[in-house]
Amino acid sequence: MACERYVGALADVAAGAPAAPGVEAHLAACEVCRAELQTMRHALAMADAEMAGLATAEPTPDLAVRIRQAVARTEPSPAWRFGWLWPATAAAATLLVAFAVFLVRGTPSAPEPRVAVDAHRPQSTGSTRATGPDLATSRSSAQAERRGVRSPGGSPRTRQAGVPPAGGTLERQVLVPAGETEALLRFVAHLRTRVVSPDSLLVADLSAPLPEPDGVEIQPLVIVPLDPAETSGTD
Amino acid sequence: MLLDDAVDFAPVWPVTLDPALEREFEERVADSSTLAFRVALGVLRRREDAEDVAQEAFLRAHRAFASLRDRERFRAWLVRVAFRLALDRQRGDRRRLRREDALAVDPRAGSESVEEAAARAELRERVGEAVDALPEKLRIVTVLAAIQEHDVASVARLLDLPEGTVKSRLHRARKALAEKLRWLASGT
Repeated sequence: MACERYVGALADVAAGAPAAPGVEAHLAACEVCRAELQTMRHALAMADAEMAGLATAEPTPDLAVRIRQAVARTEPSPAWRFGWLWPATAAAATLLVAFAVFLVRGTPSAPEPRVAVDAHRPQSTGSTRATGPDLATSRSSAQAERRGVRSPGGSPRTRQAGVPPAGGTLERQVLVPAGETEALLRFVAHLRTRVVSPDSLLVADLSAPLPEPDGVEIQPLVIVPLDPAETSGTD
Repeated sequence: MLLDDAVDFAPVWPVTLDPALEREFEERVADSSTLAFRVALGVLRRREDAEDVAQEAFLRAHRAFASLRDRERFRAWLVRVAFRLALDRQRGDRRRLRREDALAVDPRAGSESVEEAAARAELRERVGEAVDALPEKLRIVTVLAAIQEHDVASVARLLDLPEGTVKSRLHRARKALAEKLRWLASGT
């Protein structure tokens, strides 16, 4: 193994550079590094011998013919100059159709649940979507609910689902229990942004009695008096 | 392999040259196709691939020939394009790195034993890997130096570089090869 600090310098010398005075002196004194230099020179000679074949390598005799034929095959035909028009037209037409489909299908076709938050507020008909004013009213109702304001009738701000408005058809409606208006509004907002589908709203049977929890016993709270000596915190 | 199968090559748009230019291009094909082949062979070490690359390089040359009429300029351009295309092909298809006994005309072929032939193939493999591991600037200088039999002036003309730059790069390349291959030589 050559002296590690001279490996780079030895490679320089092997590659043809003159040896620096310090390297020359070291080579004169170090047999191992002299042998390493010889090894490097031998390695380069082997590499040169392997690469030397490039100088005399000849392609197959028909390479020039193949090149001429390949060039001839790529000569433009008379129709080539305007040949790009067809793909371009097809691409433009495809884009137009895709845009039209996007416009048509971008409007939601499935009815969204209507939020009914005020039993005394007249409902609009002809639309199954929760409209802007509806939402605004709902938001103000939710704010009022948070402030503890009750509806004029003193009841929670809910209305019966399934009751058709006067002169209108039955709309898909949602019964909103008191205190849950805000959660439902968030759900409607998710529907509008299509994060969820309307089917993901689970409808509970509100007329069924709530199941009684079984097997739950609440132990009486036992208050253990504290020992002042243990809790004084002083030594 | 047909060039059409090489997915990593950009398409070559056809052009039409006037008859005088076509004649000049024919002359370039005649006197430079071997150079393009050797450059590609220096990278790929497979004759079939090298010929495909040479053909592809000339297709591109045909497209740009109107601005490449000067012979020296054309050869320099061709060398760069062939080298680049060969690198692309080598990178794009590593499965095809099997070496071919194509570089050296081996005078011992037929007389060496199976063990000697295997050792030579191993040596060729290792030398090829060491050259492949060089940075591109050093690699093309190494390949061209082998093709031009270490005529620095010729390499400089082909690369359109000053001779001093070529000498410096060639020295760096040989130094790197000496360091990489010394273990190989110590075992022979």
